[in-house]
Amino acid sequence: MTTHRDTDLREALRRRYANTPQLPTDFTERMMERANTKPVQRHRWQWAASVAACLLIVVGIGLHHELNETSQQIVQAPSMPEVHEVVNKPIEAEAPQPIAAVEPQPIQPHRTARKSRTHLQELPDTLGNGIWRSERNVTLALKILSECATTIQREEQEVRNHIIQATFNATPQPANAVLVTNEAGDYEVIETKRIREI
Amino acid sequence: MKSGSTVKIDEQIVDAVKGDRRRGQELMIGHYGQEVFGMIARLAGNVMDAEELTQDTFLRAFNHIDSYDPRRASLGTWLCRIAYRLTLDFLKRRSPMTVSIEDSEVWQTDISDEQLEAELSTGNEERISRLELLIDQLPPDERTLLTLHYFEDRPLDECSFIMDATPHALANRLYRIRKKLYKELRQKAKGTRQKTS
Repeated sequence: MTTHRDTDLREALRRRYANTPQLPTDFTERMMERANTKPVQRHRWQWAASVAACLLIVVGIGLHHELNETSQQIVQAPSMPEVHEVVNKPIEAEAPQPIAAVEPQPIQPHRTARKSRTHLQELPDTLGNGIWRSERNVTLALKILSECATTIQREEQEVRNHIIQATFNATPQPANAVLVTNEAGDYEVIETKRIREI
Repeated sequence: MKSGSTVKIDEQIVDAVKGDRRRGQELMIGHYGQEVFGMIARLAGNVMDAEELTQDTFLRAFNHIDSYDPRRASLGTWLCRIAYRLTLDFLKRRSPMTVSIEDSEVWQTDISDEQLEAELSTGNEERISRLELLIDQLPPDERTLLTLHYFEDRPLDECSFIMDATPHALANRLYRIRKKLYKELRQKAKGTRQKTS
């Protein structure tokens, strides 16, 4: 390999870098300080970040659980009694006849699937009563509806009979024609001959 | 070339760093601190930056002492390799390197290695002063090569380890730098002659 003499270049470099700065006297001390403190700082910082992250996760889980419980209470507890009252009041007022009291039905255990036993234990004993009240309300409503239907049918029959009677009286009828009530309770015009046959 | 004593000292330092860490670190800084700092200072041109980069170099060396292979290079050369990489990265971040416009014209000048050597060994005071100024205008990697080879008298094999290039590639690069400097000197001389006439 050629060794370049290049004395001009060497001299220029020697002059250019003749005053190369010296390493500061306290360099070793500062270097050692940095070498031994930096990892500790990083370690502390990492610990702080880990603890903060853990706290954040715990708070997040707690908040989520709290929100879930609150939403369940809002959905279940207040709605059931309100339905009971709303349904009952107008029906009682409008009903033409007194409604027979509904026999209390035995309360059966709630069969809705739960997530866990722990969750089930936390629930209050009165939970689910509202649902049974609502079932009773539905039974009552059905009963009232059937009563109403009977009343309407009876009133219609009365009107129909009244029209038949009025028509019978107003129009000329054969001598043997008579107004009778059939098995269903409706008025019917028949001749006496037929009565004999019957 | 590594001498027997250098090898022995290097071994002691490496063992000390691996064993009693603090004592080994102090030994390494005490033995190679100035060499590394000088190289970085010449390359970076700023004492504050040089000190910071020297600290970074030693920190990296302490953390990667297991990857040091004494068969490839001496501990000082290994440290210079780390220092060179860190400093070059630092300079790239600070100001992106630009390729000299004159680079393409350099190859057009036909001159042999011997002729170049003669042209750069005149002993002319004016030429030396001019070269001193021209060195500052060179890109950092070219300046490093000149410094390592001419100022620190390191063989090209060692320079190739520090700069992560083959000795042949470095020899070519060195020829190119010398040619560029020669061309600059010639142009300057032409300009002076025209002014005088």
